[in-house]
Amino acid sequence: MTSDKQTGKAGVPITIRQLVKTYGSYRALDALDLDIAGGEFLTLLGPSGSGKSTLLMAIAGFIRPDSGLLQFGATDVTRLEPHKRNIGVVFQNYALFPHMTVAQNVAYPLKLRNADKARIDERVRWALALVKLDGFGDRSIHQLSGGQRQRVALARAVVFEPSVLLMDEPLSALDKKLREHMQIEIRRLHETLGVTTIYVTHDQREALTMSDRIAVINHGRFAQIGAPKALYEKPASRFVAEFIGDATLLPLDAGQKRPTFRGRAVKTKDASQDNGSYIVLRPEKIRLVGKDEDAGWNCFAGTLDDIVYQGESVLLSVRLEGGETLFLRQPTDQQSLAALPERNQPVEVGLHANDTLIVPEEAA
Amino acid sequence: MMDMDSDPTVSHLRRLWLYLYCLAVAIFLLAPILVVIPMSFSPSEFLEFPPSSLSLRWYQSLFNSAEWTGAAIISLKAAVLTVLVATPLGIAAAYGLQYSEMGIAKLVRSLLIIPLIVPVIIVAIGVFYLFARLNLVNTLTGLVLAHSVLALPFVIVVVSAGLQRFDINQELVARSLGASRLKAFRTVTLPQIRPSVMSAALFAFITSFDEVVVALFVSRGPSSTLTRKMFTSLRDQVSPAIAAISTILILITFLLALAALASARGDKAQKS
Repeated sequence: MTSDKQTGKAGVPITIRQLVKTYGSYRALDALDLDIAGGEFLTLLGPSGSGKSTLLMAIAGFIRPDSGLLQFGATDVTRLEPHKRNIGVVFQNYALFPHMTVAQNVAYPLKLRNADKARIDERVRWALALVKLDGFGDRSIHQLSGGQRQRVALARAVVFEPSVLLMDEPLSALDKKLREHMQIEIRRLHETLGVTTIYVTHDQREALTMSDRIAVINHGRFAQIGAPKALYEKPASRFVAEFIGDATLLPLDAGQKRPTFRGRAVKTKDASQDNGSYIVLRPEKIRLVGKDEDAGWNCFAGTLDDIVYQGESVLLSVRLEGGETLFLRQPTDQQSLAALPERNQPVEVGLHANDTLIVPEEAA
Repeated sequence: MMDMDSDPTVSHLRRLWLYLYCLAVAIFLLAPILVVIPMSFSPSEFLEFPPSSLSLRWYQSLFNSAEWTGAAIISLKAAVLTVLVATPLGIAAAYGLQYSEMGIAKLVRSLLIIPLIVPVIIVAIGVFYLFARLNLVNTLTGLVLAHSVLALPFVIVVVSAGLQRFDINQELVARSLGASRLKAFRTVTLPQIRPSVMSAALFAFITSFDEVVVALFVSRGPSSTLTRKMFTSLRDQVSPAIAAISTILILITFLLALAALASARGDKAQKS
């Protein structure tokens, strides 16, 4: 490890400027700008083909960008070979070396750095303890479960104190329970090490759970970058509102000064959202109300289409007079369940002015 | 893995016809090869089966003949050098073709496989005229080059099959962990495709060692290979010396195949 590279708890900041990668006429990365703070946990979230993995591979050095700048700290790494970048990478399929034992896998990056045997042994033991695999060193890879393999891949990626940790959908091969458990483990690992981490996923819940910030990417551009709560509560565009969380978007009437929906003024907390064109209705933000119960509510009349019991909540679907379908989530305590109307009954759906969110088609 | 032998639903007795059939096929395939072995131990001047008595006469005369041992040494040299030339080239080609994103890769693969399809005699004639201009006729270099062309398709096919089962992400990980491309290939990829590489090398060896058509054209006189010498001496006389050489060749091939099998077994045992 060279001295000009920052190591240790601070983590290395990453600067991305006007990064472009094209395949033929297709722009996989369309002039991206991004600043990642040292020690930050940033998630690249997007649908498949959005460019999130391309960006990660460019940061790792496996894809050479056509133009633009990529910096780790003050070092320009845009054209640097992957093996000189001091990065740890964890892939979706773990990519462990099956011809080596667990300990040999973890020792591999240390051997490449010509560490002496005592140091290697010490670091390998430290890394395996970190991922709670003490005593697994002599096992063969074939003897491990999926979750254990994932842990070995993690240990191997952090054992040499990399400047940056990159993870490409590392949990997508695991079942739901194990995945949620590993999300917390990876978060804890990140907090212990303080290494700048870039995490790629298409699972919006995973992104919300783990990240300091989320960069939503679509068609090779950032749709929005922000903290999980900001993204969920204040999506910048229709795409972000629909991609993160469940939402039904209703188009506002065109050509009005103030937002209106089918001729009725939409009540909002303040006038800051007046230039949007869709009203966002999330299942947990809306509920059934009496007719114009309160001046603070925006009301939508419709018919109760279906009631789906899901254990921790009940999902109601309501068909509006215009034909759109809204979804509402209701708690399953006895009182709420008893108060549910019958199917095919007319109902009023209320969205409080304070929860009313209006988004534009494209981010400003 | 399901073991067919331990399948309890069909008894060995009911499968008897299958065993007999396999035995018949094995005899049909092996008998013509094995028949030369007893013939080689005959003391007679001519090939006879079964031999009237047993003797090592022809083996003795072989090992005492400078002509035959010289030819054997040429053959071994050519085979070993062919392995050394064709195996690394074939591995590099297979690797490049496997991971190339260029559309031309398919065409290149077909071109490299051509020596496998084209009749050897045509390759031999072409090689002869080319080597005549390059002054490579009757040289070991020329023979090795020609044999490498013939061996290359085998190496490419076998190593490609090995690479198909290899996850290239492992190499990417190795590079991210600090290995250069070459180092990543050497420490991660190569150990895992080793069984394919071993059988590819074996194929290359046997391709050269058994080859006679090209050798007829480009190795002559004192630079004759063993197979070429056998071929020409068969024209003049059919002596049990030929049977003795054949027996030795069969033994060598058998041992090589056994070694390849053992190496593949060892690899499997290590994996499970």
